[in-house]
Amino acid sequence: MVLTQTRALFLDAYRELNAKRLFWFVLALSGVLVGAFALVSINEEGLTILTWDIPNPVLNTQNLSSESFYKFMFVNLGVKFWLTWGAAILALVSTASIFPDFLAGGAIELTLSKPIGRLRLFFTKYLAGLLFVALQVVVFSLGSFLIIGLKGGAWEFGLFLAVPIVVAFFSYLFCICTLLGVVTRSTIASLILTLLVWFVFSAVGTVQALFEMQKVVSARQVELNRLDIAQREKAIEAVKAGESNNGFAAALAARLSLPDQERKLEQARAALPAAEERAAGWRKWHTRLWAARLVLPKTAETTALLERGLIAKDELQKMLDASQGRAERAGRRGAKPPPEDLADFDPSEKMGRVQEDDPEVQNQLNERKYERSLWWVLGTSFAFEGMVLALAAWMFKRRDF
Amino acid sequence: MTDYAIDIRDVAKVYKGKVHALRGIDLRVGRGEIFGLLGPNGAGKSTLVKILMTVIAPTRCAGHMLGAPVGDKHALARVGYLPEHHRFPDYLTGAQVLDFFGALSGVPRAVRRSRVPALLELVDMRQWASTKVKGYSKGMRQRVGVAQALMNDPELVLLDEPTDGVDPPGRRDIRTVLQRVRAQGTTVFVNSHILPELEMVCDRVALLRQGEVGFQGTIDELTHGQRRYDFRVDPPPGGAGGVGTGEPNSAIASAIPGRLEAVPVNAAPTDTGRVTSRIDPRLRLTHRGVLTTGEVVEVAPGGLVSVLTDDPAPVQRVIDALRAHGVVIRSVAPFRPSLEDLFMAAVTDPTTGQVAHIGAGPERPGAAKAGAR
Repeated sequence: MVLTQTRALFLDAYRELNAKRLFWFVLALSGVLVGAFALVSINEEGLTILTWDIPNPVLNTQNLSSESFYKFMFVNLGVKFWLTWGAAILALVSTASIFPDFLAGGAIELTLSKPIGRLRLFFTKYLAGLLFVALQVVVFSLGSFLIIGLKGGAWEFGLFLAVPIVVAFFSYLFCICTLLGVVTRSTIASLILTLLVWFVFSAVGTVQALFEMQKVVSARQVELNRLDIAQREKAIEAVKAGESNNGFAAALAARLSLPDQERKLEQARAALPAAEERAAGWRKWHTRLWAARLVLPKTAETTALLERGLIAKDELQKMLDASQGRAERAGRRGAKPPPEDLADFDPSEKMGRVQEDDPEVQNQLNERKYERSLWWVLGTSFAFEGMVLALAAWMFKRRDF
Repeated sequence: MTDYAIDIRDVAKVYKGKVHALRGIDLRVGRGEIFGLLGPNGAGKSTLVKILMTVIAPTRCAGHMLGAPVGDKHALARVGYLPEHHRFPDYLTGAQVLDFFGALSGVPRAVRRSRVPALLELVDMRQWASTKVKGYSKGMRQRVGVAQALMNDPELVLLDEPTDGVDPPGRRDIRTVLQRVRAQGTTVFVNSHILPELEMVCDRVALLRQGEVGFQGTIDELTHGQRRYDFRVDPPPGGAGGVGTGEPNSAIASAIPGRLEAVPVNAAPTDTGRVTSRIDPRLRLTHRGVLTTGEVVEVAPGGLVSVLTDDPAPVQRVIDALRAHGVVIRSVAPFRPSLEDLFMAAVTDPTTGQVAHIGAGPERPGAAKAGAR
């Protein structure tokens, strides 16, 4: 009986989706996007769209294999841009009515009168609601799988990781939509409020990412300032030690007089506490925001799991290095670590401010992305979802209709 | 196996805001009968059915349905239900509606395949099987709703206003279906305020008013002691006065063999005796009393005389006496109250002739406190 009922509920969910034009519209858009992938290819110089060659110093086969390029496109355009934004919003529009319609007077009485427990009914209906996104992602992944196989030459089954990951991502939003649907029984209200909550999640995530970057930047600043002070102390000691015969000591003294070097050292020492204080401040605020985020679903990090699963860390690093090399060639601004060899050290140069695109900062942020545990990303998100669903299910179970 | 399909005691429901929808219902529905639950809007009929179908949680409830405690989900596999104002998903066809709800009742696919066309045929909807429900009229939806309630071949079927919105031929068809279902041994529980419908098909009925059972039993049991003979008479010539003043009725009353006394015009509503006509509760009685043979007799303005008996013998004596006094008898008719008469009598305050407040209401002063959820 359980199987018969569950099958009926899923079949009904499919029929409901099938009756919605939006479902087919989204599917068609997914098809268009997959088709667009097929028009793009990568070569040694850059990209080719149909017959149009576009040189690109980062996106070329010197940095990235053809297979990885398609995976990169699949993750960043297909999943991060389309499935978790465009298609997700359309999916919410489509599915926001599921619970309000289900609970509407005249509809719910009949379903509740059947020999099926309310909790089972609730959770089956909830899972059936995720069918919209699951079907969309399956079709999108299958299309991408074929494109990468045919054009990139690799049959990457890992693409189907997008199915559980995108469904998990969507479920963080759908659980809220479900709770609001149970509370308000209004499609419009639950849709608008869910979008609002999603905006809050994204805003908190973005602010936390910014804080994390500032934390890394400020820590890097302190590190560089300390290295700078250490080099200045060594340079002064070398000059004072009468190593005037030594070539590099003379050169150091020639670059900047000893009193001026001592003055610069004092200035560097005076600047250190402020940098340390700034770093401590960012560290403190980031920790607080991190704690607050701990209880919220990790939407961005969940979709980033796909990148982690599909694109090898070293390949991403290669792209990053290529991108950094390009920046270096273009003349990077900002702080650089002082040369380790005193012979190359110029005491007249002032330690600059560390920029966000500092290679070490980017490397650290990239490292962190790959180091985040599945428990932190999925465990805490599912815990949030579980609590929201438990509240919705409890209300559904107790309510008189 | 218990003899009752439904055997419930002390069913109460107090909604938030302390609205007492049900105040302690005791009800028994025998197996294989058609049972009608009647009552005005807001009397608690749908609430009671929803409690039985686990749609609403009762504040208090004891008893069984099909031998299982009320609220037992497994028992619902043997129950069919058609809610009032039901709304089927618009994207389903009639056949899909039956298939879907049959599946939710746990009916295997093979059985559903054979039962869907048979039930659609039963409610005369076979030709609309593949049409989406959104294209159905209200009557067609009701027909499909009734068929849906029978998908699991239930032992008990509860129908909440099944003929609501259905045209007369459709009502007749639904009545026929109910009688067929009963003939197969299924118990049918019908909620309705369309009293003639219930009277035509029900073996037993119960009336709900203000969340309590006003009466229950067979139509014969309920009308027992309420059958009567109604006379329409003209006062004797010279018995004079305008109709309704009481004076002509005094002449009529004095012609009746028995002890009759005038009912004061301003009889207090607290008067325990009946002060309104049984024929038309809006008319106040002018006289009442008993015949020499012991039957109750009442006289109302307009020359209305009622003798409460189903025995024609005492009526003959009244006819003879009236004629002897020159009273012109226009008509004499035996009267068996209809369900509607019983209903109206039950909901009318006999002391005022006004329809009482009969829906759910706040807790009554002095009533035992029901433990709200």
